[in-house]
Amino acid sequence: MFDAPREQFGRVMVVDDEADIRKVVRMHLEKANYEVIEAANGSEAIALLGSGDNPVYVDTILCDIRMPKVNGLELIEYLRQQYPSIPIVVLTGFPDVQMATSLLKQGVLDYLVKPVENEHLITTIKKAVDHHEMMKGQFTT
Amino acid sequence: MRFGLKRKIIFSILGAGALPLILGMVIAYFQGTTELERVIGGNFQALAGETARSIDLVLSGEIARRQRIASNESVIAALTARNARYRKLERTAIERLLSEEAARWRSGERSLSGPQIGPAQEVLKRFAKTAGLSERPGSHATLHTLFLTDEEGALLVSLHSDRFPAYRHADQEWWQRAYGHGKGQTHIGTVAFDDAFGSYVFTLAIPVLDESRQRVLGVLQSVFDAKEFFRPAIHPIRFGQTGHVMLIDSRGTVINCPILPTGVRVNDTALIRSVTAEEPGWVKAAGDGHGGQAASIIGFAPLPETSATTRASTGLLWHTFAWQSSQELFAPTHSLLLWVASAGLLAMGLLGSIGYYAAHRIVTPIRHLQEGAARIGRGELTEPLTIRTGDEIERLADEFNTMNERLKSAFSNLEEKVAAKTAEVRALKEYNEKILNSLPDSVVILKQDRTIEYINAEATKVLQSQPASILGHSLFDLLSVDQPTQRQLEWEFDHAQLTTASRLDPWEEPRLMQSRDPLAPTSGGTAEDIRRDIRIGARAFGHRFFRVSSGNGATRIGLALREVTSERQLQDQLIQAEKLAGMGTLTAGIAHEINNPLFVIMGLAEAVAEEDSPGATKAFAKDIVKYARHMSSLIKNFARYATPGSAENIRSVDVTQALADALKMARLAHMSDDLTVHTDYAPLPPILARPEEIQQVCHNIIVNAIQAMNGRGALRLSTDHVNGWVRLRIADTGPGIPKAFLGKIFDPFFTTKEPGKGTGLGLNIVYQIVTKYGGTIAVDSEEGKGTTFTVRWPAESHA
Repeated sequence: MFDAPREQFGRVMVVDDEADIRKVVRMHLEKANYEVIEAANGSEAIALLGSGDNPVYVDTILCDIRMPKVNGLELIEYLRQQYPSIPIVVLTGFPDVQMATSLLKQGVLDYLVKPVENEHLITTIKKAVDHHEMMKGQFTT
Repeated sequence: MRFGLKRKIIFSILGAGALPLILGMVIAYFQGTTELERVIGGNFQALAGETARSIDLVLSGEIARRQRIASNESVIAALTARNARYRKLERTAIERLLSEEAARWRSGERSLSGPQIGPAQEVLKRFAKTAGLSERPGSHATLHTLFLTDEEGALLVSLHSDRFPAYRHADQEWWQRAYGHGKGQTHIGTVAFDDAFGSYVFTLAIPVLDESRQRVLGVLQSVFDAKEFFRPAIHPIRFGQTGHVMLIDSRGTVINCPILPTGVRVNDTALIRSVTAEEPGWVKAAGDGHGGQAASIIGFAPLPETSATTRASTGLLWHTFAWQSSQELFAPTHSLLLWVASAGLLAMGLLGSIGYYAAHRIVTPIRHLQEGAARIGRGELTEPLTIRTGDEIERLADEFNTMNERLKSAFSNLEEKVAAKTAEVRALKEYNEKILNSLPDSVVILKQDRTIEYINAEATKVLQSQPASILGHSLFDLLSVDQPTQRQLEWEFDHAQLTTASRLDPWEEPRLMQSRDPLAPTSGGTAEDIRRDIRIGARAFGHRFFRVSSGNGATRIGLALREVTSERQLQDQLIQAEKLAGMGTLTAGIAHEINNPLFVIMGLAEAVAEEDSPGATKAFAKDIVKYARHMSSLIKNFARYATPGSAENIRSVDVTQALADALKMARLAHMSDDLTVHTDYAPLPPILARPEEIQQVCHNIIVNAIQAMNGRGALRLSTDHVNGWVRLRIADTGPGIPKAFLGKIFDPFFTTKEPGKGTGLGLNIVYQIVTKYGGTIAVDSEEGKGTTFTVRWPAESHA
């Protein structure tokens, strides 16, 4: 499937309070040639994105909902305002349809429920990164 | 009636009359007696005085007659001649001469010698003849002897010559006093027994003076028979049976008495002292001087003239003494007493008769009235009372007649009224019993000794027995309940007895039963109202005690029991349902909590499959096991919580454990997980409850707290143990509860969440579970600061 020479397809920020979740996600994404940066909660993610004169560039943000300090919902709301072009994929243990609907309405690209299949995660991330590419092209052209 | 009116009236009249009468009689008697004594005493005194004067006269006469002899010339001449012979002689010669003459006299030479004796002898004989003096000595004559002595006391002339008298008298007291060493004085001697005459005698010695009346020549001596001499003056004075006069000297020697022999000494010295005063008088003495000791009145008087002579001669006074025996003397006073007493008795009798008549007049109409009143009382009197006395009694009878009329009309329809009332009472009783027996609730009425007085139909079913077999038995013996409930019921029974009636007003709202209604508002509930259900077999009952008064003033305690078994079941179902309703929210949290480790496990497992290095594989495997264990414990906890409770699994519960379990679960109910939890658990005794219900209480409060804080803040959990109560506190730092809501938070369906976000039953269930196990719950909240819930349950050992 990926027979092309190994090159980086994009950079993904993983926001989750549990280190092992982040580790597993990194394992999956790096195997699929994505660069991964991690944030343990919402406020850390915001800090990374807006740190200094040179904000970190990310193609997609993979984000949990139930987190201490700034939780996922608050983070998403902030991101939709500050970085509307960065696609957001939610990865949560809450199988809450109402919440999923409301998040999708807010512009979240996808809503994944743990435990998600590896392929499904990669496909979603690829779609998101591609979406970001497309959006970027629209904005730059 | 112990004392009839009649008797009272008679006694009153007798009392009013008799007292002054008796008093008057007694005063009259004593006054009369005293007066009588005074009169008698006066009379006796006068009599004694009169007698004394007459005796005096007799004695004075005797003395005068002897003085005439003493002044006779022949007598003086004879004495002068006789005395002349002593002039020439020495004393011893005189003594010798006189001794010779005395010896000749004793030897029977009866002739007295001397110049001029003859004429003197004649004078004495003449006197003796006129005085009736007997020639023979000792015969019953007043004058026993009469003789003349010279200046040496030698006998000169004597009427008698037969061995009498003695020849010389110079050593005799009478002679020495009469001679008086030549000066002379009249001498009257004491009364003494004279053997020569065989009788009591007294002497009268008169000095014979010479013609110049300067010198005593000799003594004329007379010896009188005391008894015979005074007899004419004393003996004729007799009055009454025993009244007489006597003559005594001041030593108490009887000189003459018609009763006592002459010469007897009266030994009553007190009496003698009182009757021998120098002035005449009378005394009332204790003795009579005649051997008796009865009171007597004695009049006395000294002889006015003679006493001077006797005093000069012997130092004694002679007294007359008028006396009468006390028996005779006081006979008039005794008869006076008798008369007075008879008059008194007669007066009493009269008074009694008058009293009887008056009482009869007064009492007879009253008796009629009484009989009439008694007949009215028995309802027999139909005719009016007829009493015509014209006074208050007649008016009273009229009042009785009026009263009788009124009573007759009042009583005429009484029987119908009684019958109607009885029927009414019976109907009321039936009515009450019908109502009570139709009640679905049990009603038992207890006496103060806890025995059953009344029991309604439902209660007999509950106690599974017949009324006849349990009436009079103690309720607490029949109720098959556990020990704590029994103790509680007995305490409440005693409390109900002591509590005032108003505290247990029968119309008071039965709060207890109401608070047990699963959907009823819970506000206003206090610890006081929390009472256990009574469990009889599988059935649960709410109860309350109430006071009733049982007509005759005694107080009865009623016990009402209402079956709440189905309500309890409903409550249990409701508690379960609420738990299940909360399960929806919880499931999301649970899912999150399970899905996270599951995701890690899956990822690690995939890595293991692709990994060649044995070291890395081993590390992955270890992590996998760790997450699998975490999941396992989570699922167990959830499963435990979700299990529906069954009625029978009440057991010892560790409240700290339930609180810790509840915390783990409750944290999952919110998607935000930014909590700081402080715990302060003290070692606790267990409580008796269903464990999942205690966990449910903790869970609901913690979930509320987390939701109130929106998942962010500090949660403080603490437990402790105070006075047999297990206490737990759950405090949050949320926004607090507005004051307006504080009173409603335990009400069912009260919620501040938007529709669909909560059932509104969470805290209501908390309240129900807390109170179900005898606990209390309090909420303390300050807006902006936070809320603290405090729950208490009795420890198992105190339940």
